Amino acid sequence: MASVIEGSTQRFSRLRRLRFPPIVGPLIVLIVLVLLITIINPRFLSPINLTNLARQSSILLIIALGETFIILMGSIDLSIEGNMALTSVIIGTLAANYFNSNDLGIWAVLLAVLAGTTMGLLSGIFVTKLRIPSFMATLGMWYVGLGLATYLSNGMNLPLLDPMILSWARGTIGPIPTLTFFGIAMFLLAFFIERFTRFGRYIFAIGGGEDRAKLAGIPINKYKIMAFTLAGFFIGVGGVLNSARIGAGTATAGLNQLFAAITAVVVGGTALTGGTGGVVQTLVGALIVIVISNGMLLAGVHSYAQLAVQGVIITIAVILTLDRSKLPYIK
Amino acid sequence: MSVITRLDKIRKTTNWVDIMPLATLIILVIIMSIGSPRFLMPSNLLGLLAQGSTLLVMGLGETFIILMGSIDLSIAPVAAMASIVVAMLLPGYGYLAFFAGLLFGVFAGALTGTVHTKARIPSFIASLGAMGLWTGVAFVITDATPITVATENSYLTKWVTGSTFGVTNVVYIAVVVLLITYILEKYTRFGRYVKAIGAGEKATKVSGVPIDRIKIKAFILCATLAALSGVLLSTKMAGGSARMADGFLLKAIAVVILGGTAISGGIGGVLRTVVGVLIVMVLDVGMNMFGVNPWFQQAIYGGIIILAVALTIDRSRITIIK
Repeated sequence: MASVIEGSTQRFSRLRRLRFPPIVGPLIVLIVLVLLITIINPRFLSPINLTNLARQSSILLIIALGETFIILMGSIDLSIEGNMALTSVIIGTLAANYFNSNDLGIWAVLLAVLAGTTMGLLSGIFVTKLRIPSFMATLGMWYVGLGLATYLSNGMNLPLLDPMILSWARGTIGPIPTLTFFGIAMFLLAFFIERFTRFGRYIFAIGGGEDRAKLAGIPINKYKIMAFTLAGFFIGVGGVLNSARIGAGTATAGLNQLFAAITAVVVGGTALTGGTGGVVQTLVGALIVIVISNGMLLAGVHSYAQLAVQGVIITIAVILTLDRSKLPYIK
Repeated sequence: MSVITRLDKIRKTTNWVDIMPLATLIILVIIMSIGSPRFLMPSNLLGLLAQGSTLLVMGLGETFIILMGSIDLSIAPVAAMASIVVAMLLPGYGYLAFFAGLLFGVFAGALTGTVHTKARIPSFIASLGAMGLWTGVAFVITDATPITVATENSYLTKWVTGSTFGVTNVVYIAVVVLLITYILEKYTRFGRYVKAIGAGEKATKVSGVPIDRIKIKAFILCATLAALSGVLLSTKMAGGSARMADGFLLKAIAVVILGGTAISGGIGGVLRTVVGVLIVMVLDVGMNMFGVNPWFQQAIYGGIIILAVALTIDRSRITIIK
């Protein structure tokens, strides 16, 4: 049995190495974008703007890394905004804030991330044990999280006072924003999980062909639940950092993050059908999304227009990356 | 697992999806009438119907999409866009503004349907893209501030907000839409093909049905009805805004699934959506009566959707659940 699993996962990792070059496409897009925007507005490459870019891309990267594991399995997690809302409100009520006398410090962070992780765990359990499609289960969880967060915060912003948490988003270490170190650390963690753990290999196997992975003896449900939980963890961390960036716990902490995250994953080259792509692709994808939105801001485009642009980009990226041979019918 | 298998067996041997929603509705109504004797008073029931009409119109359109086994996630921003179109054009163009709103729905539906079928990407992602597109466009053209329609134009909205024989006109509009969609579902080739696509796309294709054309038509129908509900909302709120239909997506999908139309396609219909709307209306009233915080209600609906999908989905038809 073990050798069968090894054989199948080896084949998948070989396949993956063979398919590694697709990263070239998104990379070229990124470079062309950077060149174009710099020509239009040379301020784009100024140190201040580069620091901005590094700061902005870190939170998106962290959320998108979590979503990557889900999309690699061929599933989807639509609950990002609900998860971030809940983690944000929890950090806003438990860490030092203007509204109550709680001051749990790092424990507030851990509890908030734990809440996010639990959201992911629940999604995973619903998908596997109730056997319902992930987009429905996570659509439900989106509103469970958002509703709970708005209820707990009474629809208000809960300004944060904790200097440590605030410094994570606003401080710098040397010339580099602290947030970027969080982004790098989470990226390395995700990279390690993807490349060097059994979990990472099985995720590719499940996305590459769930029926075959099952025949090879992989406990599908266990790994799916683990993946949703891991995604919940990453998104929870993103929720905490975004609250620090906003400077408050709020149910709107996740606003429009679902779009940006899915766009980053798909634009990087991870196919919605699962099995191809990975966290390196997501890094490139997150940079593309941030460069586009930063470029649009520099060009003076209405900030709300970004949502419309991302809607179009998601669609185009899916059209380009979808492996249609894996879908007998497209519903 | 065993619970699921047992549940699947019950669902197959009985008319589960026929009985469950009606039984739920009756039980809820009984609980409500015991809790508050005023609940069954005609004035209260009429108020409920008026509230549910907009939701029903939106749910009826989504019914056809879910019957095919697809999903349209873009209905709320399409409704919001229609409300904005009406609010912007009403002062200058009068009644034509309503047609422009509906026309926007036709366009949005044609776009989603065409991208979904011709570019061959799943409907949930095509409509998610459309959701982002129309939300963004709605915020940009309104500059994120609601547009109000001056009261001197209120005579133009009487056809919705006025009442005939003591019942708000919006109820009659919803009933007309229900009749039309019922006829479409039961007595036209389109309705039969929609169900056939949901029941088995391969067999339907082999028998020569132009799948793509039917799908695009269904998406046009869904978005047009979403736009109509946006038009109805704009008359009620005397204006339009990008946030007009916030929260409608979840409820519109909830009414379809709670009524007993399975997310796996093929089973269900518009009459069940009526039952679904009634369940949601009674639940709304009940939760308000028991003082459940409105934001907490949203969380409850999230849970209800998960539960309803789990109870109605036909797992034998989806071999691998992603």
